[in-house]
Amino acid sequence: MSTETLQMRPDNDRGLRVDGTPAAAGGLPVGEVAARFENVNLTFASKTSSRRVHALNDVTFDIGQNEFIAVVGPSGCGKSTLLNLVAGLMKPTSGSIYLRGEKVTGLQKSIGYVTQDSNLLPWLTVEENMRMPLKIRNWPKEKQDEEIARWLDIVGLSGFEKAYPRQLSGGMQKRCSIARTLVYDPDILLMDEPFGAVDAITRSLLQDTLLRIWTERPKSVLFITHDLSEALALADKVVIMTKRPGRVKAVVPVRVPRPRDIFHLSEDPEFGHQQRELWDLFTSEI
Amino acid sequence: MTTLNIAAAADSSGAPTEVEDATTQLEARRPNWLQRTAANWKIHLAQVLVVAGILVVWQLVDGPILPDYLISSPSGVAVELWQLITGVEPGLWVNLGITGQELAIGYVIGVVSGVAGGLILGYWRAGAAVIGPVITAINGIPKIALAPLFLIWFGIGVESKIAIAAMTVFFIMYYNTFMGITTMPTPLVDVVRIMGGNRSLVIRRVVLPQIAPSLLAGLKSSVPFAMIGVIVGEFIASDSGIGNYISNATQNFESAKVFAGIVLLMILILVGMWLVSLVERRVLRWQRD
Repeated sequence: MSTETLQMRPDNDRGLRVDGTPAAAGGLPVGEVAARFENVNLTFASKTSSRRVHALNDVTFDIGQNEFIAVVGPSGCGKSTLLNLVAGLMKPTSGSIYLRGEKVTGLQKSIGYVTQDSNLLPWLTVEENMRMPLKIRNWPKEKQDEEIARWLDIVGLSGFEKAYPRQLSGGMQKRCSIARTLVYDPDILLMDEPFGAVDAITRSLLQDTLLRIWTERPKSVLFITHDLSEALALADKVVIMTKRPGRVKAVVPVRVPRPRDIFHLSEDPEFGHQQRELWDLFTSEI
Repeated sequence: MTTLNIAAAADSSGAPTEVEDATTQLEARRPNWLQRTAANWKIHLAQVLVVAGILVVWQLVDGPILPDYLISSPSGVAVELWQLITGVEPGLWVNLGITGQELAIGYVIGVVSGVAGGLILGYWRAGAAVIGPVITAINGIPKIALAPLFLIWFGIGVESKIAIAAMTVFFIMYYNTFMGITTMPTPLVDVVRIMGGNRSLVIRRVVLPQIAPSLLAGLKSSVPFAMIGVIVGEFIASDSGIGNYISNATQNFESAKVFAGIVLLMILILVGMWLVSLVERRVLRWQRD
């Protein structure tokens, strides 16, 4: 049962998916694809030696419309690079990235990107930081206020509207940065280990919040993590990357049924089952 | 309803301890601040004593050791200043006004054009590659050597002094802005562009605040340089201004007047620096405790 649901790819990565469609063409019709990596290769000049670093090797996978994709892989495998490619901050050496059916050629300006660092503007207060994307979108003042208050409440930062980022703890900055991205309701959301730096309890709460938000306002999510359980808890599919040069080792559909109860997920037999499968796949890469 | 639950749950975990942390930090800062003021007070006293000592020595040296026409004396300078202020000797306010005007206008023009130039070439790298060396070459010329040219071009009035001051300030602000932009880390810019910010918004809300420390350093060092430009211009050719007053006094060996003029220049500089520090406090208020 396990092997046939795992969409294993042969090492040359030019093979077929389990359902028989060619991998390079993706599994979905273009209209239903939010983002697509098509034979993406990336090499860049190393900072420490004269040799070029091969970061990504023929990466191909799709993020379906409103699909939640988690990418896991050993550190340094180029996971975060995937997000920079979708955002248009980097260009692939070869291959293409498509966003809503269009090839990414420059910086994308209508997506949500929660970076690994909070990247809040230190000279703006929490409230001003969150207002910036809304001002850019010319939302009416009342709607801005309403949404900012709602999101501050969701991430537990009510009462800190007038605080400057440096007056907040790292976890609070992180929550503010997430709220600042979600407040403008982007349809495509890139998240780079967003909960990596927060404590375990807050992490579960934030995961729970994210799932609720995603259920309420569906979005296409590309979520980078190094935590297999997190990937299983949140995603529809888990993309497992190999160590550098990063290659897609497998795309695994998550069988844990929705709605998922983050706080009691470990009691779900399917969760334990799949966690073991993924772990075996993953450890062969460490 | 869901949001309420989440917020309540979040409150019961991380938030309260963080609130406590924040308040204890604030309270812990106050005694430090008081201590600092006490230490400052002693430093201020010492500073006053040093200045008073210099004045006493100066007063004693005048006459018996050095002739009065060379160094005058603190009392002589004070009398001179008093006569200027009371109008016994005319021209103080006109001269102060003229020099202050040259300084302020030249400074503002230099700052605006320097920042604009730095922004443009900071973004337009091809242009910087072509024009940058030219700017560096011109900057290598001592500005004072250019002052006579400015007098030929702009005449003997305030315009030439404004131009000299503006040119001096331009180079300082150009380099501070250009360096600020080319060495600025980019993640914040990327984040704001990805959320939809256009170039103008990115410059106003991200780039300028981010290079603010470098800009403020430029604003501060520009004040005395603008003053040099103005005074050199007035020395070369002028019909009014503090520099003109000092220059005339020098030719008549009236050293008390020369020193009185220098005191007035110091006051102008201090006012200028104080105005810049107001700007600095406003711009960097997010860094304050």
